Amino acid sequence: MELRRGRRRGAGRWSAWHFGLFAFTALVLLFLMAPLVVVFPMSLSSSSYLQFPPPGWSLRWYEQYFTDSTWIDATLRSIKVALATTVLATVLGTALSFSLVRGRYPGKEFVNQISLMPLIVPVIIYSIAVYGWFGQLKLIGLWQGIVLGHTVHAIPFVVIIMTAALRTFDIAQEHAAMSLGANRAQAIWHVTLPPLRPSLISAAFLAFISSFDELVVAMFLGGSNMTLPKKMFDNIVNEIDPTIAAVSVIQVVLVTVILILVSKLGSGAVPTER
Amino acid sequence: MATQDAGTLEVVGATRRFGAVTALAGVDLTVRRGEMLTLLGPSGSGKTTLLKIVAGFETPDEGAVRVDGRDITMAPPAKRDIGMVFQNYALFPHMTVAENVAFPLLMRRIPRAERERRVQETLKLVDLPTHGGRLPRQLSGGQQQRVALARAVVFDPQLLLLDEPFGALDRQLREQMQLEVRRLQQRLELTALFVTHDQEEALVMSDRIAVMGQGQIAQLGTPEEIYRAPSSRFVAGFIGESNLYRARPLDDATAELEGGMRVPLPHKWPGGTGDLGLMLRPERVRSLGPDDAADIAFDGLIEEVVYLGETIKYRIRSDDGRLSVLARWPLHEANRILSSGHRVRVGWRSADMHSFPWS
Amino acid sequence: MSASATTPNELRAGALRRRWWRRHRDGFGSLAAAGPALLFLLVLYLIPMAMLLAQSFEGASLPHYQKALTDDLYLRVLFDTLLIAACVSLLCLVLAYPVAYALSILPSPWPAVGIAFILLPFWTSVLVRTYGWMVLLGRNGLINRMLSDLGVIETPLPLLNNMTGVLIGMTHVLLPYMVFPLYAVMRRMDPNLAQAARGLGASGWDVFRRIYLPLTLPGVLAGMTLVFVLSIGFFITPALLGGGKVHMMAVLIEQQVRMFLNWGFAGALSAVLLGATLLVYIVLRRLLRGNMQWS
Repeated sequence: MELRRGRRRGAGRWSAWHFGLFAFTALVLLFLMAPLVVVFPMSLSSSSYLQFPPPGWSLRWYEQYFTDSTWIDATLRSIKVALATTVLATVLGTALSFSLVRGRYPGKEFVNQISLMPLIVPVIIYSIAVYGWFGQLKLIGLWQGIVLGHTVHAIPFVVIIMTAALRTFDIAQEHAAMSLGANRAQAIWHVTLPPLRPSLISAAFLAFISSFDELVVAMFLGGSNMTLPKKMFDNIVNEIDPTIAAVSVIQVVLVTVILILVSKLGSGAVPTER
Repeated sequence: MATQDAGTLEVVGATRRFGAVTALAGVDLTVRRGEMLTLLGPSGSGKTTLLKIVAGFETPDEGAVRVDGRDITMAPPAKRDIGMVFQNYALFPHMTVAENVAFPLLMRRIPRAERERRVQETLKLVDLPTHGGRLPRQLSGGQQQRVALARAVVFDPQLLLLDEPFGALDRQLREQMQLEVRRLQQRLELTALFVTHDQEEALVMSDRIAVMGQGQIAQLGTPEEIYRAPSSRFVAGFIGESNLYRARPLDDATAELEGGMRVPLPHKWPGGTGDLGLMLRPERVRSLGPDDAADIAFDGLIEEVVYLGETIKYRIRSDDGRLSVLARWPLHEANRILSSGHRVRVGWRSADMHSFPWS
Repeated sequence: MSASATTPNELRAGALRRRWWRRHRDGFGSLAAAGPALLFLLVLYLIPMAMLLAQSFEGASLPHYQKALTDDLYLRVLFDTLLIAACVSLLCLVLAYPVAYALSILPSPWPAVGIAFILLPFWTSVLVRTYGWMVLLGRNGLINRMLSDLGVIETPLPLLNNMTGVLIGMTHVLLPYMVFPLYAVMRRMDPNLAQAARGLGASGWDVFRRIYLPLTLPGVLAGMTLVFVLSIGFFITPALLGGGKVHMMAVLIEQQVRMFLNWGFAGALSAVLLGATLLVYIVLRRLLRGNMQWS
């Protein structure tokens, strides 16, 4: 009797305690969403000052963003850098993942540690280090230089997602392909890579976002060629005007769209999936 | 068709060591044209290593593999012209059934029209003529098995390898697929090497069986030979159920079992130094009337009863306690079930036993 | 094979070599696959880091390290950095543990909705989020406005340009890093376990303390490690929300390079920060592994 009652209680009827828990959860989620939501009304403010609620409504900050060539240049530069970073990091990181999952050679664990190190080492340290190094190589101020720095930080994301995906892949399928007449390259191309496509998409998006949002490396390496985050940073520090709010809204919308795309096409980046 | 020897597989002195462990110790094996030969053995016996060497996923330290007289020891898997059915089928999940079966033809650059014709033909052969458009995950286990088989034979390979292909199926389906695979192999006259740890499966499927243990072939022969006349204790213990006795030869025709009972030997014992092993299948033990005689006969008590449906198994211990024997008798109306503690008289002919050196 | 010109031994050695190569070709192939990425990381990661650290060792008596490790000002910053990191880790744990638990027991589709609400800020630029907090926490921001409209406060609360703002901003950025490992561990928990314990007479608190907590401890440690290590190196949030009053190592290092071009000292500070990071990482990793073995 005691047992059965206990089981029924556990089976799904919520207690007051549970509702307290869910209310707390809702509050935490509100805390997480609040700074994203609040930029929407700010971007429509008619005032030049940081003031809430806005005294009136207008679209002038969106107009400001789209007509100011420094904003547009910074945005295009960031997109260019992020795309190049995505390609470089995805190719290098995927090859590295194959090596880490399939390879049998001494020092593999060391290679693994090296590839994940940029996640743990504070970005500021790396930034000044590469700033010094690129200063000697005369690479400061080039967008290609920013790409190199961002790729270092995007590789770990690719490696984490692709090694996880490769570990679940049944090597017997590759063997089957080879016994059926495929050489190794054909086996990988026809049999191994297609099921990995969702993970590749996730890895690529993550690499793109990590570069597109990155500030500190770009701040040191960019020189006078500002990326979008650097331009936003300057705008915030100097408290110029709410154009930053309009930019923020555009970014939140963009991230939402990407997130939906990834949840449809990708796998491994969203932890609700297996 | 090709020459007379087409489809013969020869393995010569294949040896493979992993560190201190010898997985394969100089195995010689010939699979004849059109024959289904089974590698049977427990895990770690070297059967999988041998299969991998034949398939090209493993390289032997010494020895060679030849197909049709051609040395393929160093050839990549793709160049071996060997069809293989994998343990869990290894179907490509993102390709349809037809695409899976077409894959080896695509790799061989066979023109589209012929490709489609052969895929259709082969799918009909495995009884899946209308399933070409489905994905593997939409098929049942038995159907997936057939697709794997179709994919392995569609390109007319010289040799078919089957790596524990029935492990994932339930018992009924497994028996059905065993017969189907066997029929297909015989119809296509394929030379086949089959790997399993299931002795019943080996008896059903094979023309010949190679029983493997400790990296060597312990015995090679037809299923009947292996079952009736195992050459060693290991083989006798591995194939079927048996009573195994250790005995000391007294002369070339009698021996003394452990426990002291003297028995006449089934074959003339050539002598020599060591002990010998005597094997007796449980179904050869007979129930005797009180006055019946046999080469070996004794009175005893039933110690243990195992009901198996069509047959029943008894463990019987002799009254003098010197011998314990396992007997299996068919159940029919005349044969009622005896219970534990029942007194019986049992015996068998000397010729029902089989002898081999103990060590 | 033409064996006529070679002795059997040479032939045998050649064959062995070829067999060895056939066996290890894939292994070397996969090492080669790592090659480009490793070369990339060597030239663009390890070399610049090594050069930065090398600069910090100039001078026979290691003056940069003497300054970094004895000057009260810099020790104070190091202490503040570690203190902030510890506070943020605890805040994240307190907020994330109930959330992860709720998400792990809620029926579909609520977990997916909750995760989406965490992923969206997670993927949004830190600058956007920081700006959002400025709107919320400022003197004329949403929160102060609401509180004064309700008559709760007379003068605006100082929420920005101080420690409060930094803690709020950092917790916001790092909270997802704590939720994800916890959620991953909790989702794998067998719900029958708690029921079995209850069936054996355990109270709700007992179940939590003796079963749930020990089994989720690996997730707690993993999340704490991540949040602490990332906090130590934080730059953007303290720079923007601290209003120059909150000093963290990263901000200090940036100043040394930007304003004073003092590479040697910046290198020494980096070494200290890096050492602290790795120390925390290794200690917590060790704890994590020990705990895994134990459970």
